[in-house]
Amino acid sequence: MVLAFISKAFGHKRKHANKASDMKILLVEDEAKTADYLKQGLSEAGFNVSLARDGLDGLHLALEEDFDLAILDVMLPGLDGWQLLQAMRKQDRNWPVLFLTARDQVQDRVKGLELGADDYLVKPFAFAELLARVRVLARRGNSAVQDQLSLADLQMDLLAHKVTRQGQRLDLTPKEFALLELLLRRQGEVLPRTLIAAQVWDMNFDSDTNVVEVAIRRLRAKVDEGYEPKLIHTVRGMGYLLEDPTE
Amino acid sequence: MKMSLTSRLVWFFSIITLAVLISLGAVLTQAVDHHFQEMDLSELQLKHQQIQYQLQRTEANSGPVALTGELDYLLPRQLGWQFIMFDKDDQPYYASNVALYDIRWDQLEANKLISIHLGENHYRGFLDTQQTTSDWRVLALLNIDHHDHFMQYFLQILWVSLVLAVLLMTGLGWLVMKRALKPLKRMSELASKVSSEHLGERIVLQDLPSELRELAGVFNAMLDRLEASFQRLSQFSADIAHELRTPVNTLLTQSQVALSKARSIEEYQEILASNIEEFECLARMISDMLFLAKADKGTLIPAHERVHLATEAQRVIDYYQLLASEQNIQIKLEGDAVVLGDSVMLGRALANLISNAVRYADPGSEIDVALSQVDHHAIIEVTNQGVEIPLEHRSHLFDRFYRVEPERSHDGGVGLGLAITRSIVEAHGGQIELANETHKTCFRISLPLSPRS
Repeated sequence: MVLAFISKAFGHKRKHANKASDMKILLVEDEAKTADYLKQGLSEAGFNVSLARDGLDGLHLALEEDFDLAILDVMLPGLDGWQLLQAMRKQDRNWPVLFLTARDQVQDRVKGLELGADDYLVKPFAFAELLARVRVLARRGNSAVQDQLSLADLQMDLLAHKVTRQGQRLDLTPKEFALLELLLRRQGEVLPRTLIAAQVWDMNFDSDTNVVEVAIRRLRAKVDEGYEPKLIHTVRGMGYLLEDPTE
Repeated sequence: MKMSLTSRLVWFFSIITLAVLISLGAVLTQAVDHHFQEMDLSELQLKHQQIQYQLQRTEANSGPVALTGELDYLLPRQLGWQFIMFDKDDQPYYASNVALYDIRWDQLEANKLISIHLGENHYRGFLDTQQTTSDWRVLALLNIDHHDHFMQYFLQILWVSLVLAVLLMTGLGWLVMKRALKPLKRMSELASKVSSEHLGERIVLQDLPSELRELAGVFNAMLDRLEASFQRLSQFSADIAHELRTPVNTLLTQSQVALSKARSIEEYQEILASNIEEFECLARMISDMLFLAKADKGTLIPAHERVHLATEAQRVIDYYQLLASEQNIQIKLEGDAVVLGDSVMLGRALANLISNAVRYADPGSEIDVALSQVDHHAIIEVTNQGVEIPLEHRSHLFDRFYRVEPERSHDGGVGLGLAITRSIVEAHGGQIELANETHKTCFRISLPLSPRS
């Protein structure tokens, strides 16, 4: 039953993030298999993806069309990712840029951020992680300040620091509150464990992600136990998902 | 190409020998020549006195003709003497040889040895200008052909022995050099034998002259370092290959079995999800190994910011406390220390130690994280109650891929955690050690407050 969410995990997005279908992403990646799967994955997640397989093609596309986000590989034939970014910025193509890099060297990061990259991911990365970051970048600028979050009969009042389900108040620890807030804000998205550890506990390095499992289990006990429908779902191999399956 | 050391040294020696012998020959020649001149001078002076006596005696009672007769007798030609007699106007009056009439009195230098050639013969004379009462003056000349012959012979001997000495010096020098430089040759032979398979070769220091001992010592030390890093490298490669084999094998088998017959969508999904778990494990291993490779290369450069260790530790403890409370374990933090360093890296080191402590702590026990500042060091101690690490494992604990319990490999990474922790600590200029007590395991990190100030 849980496995059914795998197929839903990406496809489902069309319903929730229906704005995603309008989002145009420029993907520049030279490694054929990676490029094809990234394109497929992002398209299935509801994004409109244009793929270029080298730097010059990428620049061509960037100058011809308008995009909302660019995903650039650093090591590209013709024109590398940095040069492509510079050329784009020169032509006032100021979309958010996410870099994919195989070289996790400090200098690279500094260089990328100096040139105005918004985020970077080091290969090998989890697709769910990429998707999560793409959504953050895509949402940037149009996230209204909310003080109420909700899904089905689950309500979160950020000002009063109060959570209720079916009108009953749930007693959450501060970290559980932060975790549920993250899940609610990004409901309908599969959140990888590493992302949860980084966002909720500020653990920005590889750590024992069993902790996230425990935290989710406890949260689930408070949020889902005794209530229907179940809202917190495990997507095996990907992460966790908050959504109303009846919807 | 440069000349070989042997030929260069032999060349130098030969040139020095030649120079020394030539100078010596010149000095000897000079000395012999000088000796001959002294001999001639004293003989000429003696003769001169006899002549003066004769002049005074004969002049008084007879004419100049009788005087020439006396002089012929006093200076016998067969004994190599020649003479010339001048009158008071300095004109030659009589000479024992016709050729001598060409000599002008005023051409002669006084009080000096005079060299005159008559035909093939060489004469030496001396003009004494002492005031005499006589009207006549006589220049006596002594044949010195035998001196010339001797000098010629002497120079010949000198040249021949000089050439022989140089040749001998060259030959002997070459032999001696060969012998003296033998240790160098042995060193180069040994160096040429060193390869990845034979890194164990060393130069035996006792056989070497003291000048070469230091060089050989340095050479040996270089080989030691090379051997150690080479062994670490090949061990690491072997470990990587070994560690990769298991997950790759699982993935391969699983995928092939999956494809061997048609299955339901659920089954495929199950297989893919299981594959993802293996891939994630591989990805983590790869990034860990890259981290360690950077540490090995010395390119792991920590940031230089003020890190409040208590804040970092509290964050990590908040995280792991969740896992710990499953086992009813409490994590306690006390003390504080501030260091200059990289908060992300230090957080990772703390996380590794605390995660380790949670894994091996007795259920219901307490884990202590103690921070303190001693002298110029910050001390971090992470202590858990539980079965202590067996003695035979302690020295390998920080090695890559080393696991105390191999069979329990799957629940806790691949055995790179402590190696990474040590790399982080060392990149900060600190040290990590294990302090075991009865039923207690304590990791202690000591960090300089400001590394490489």
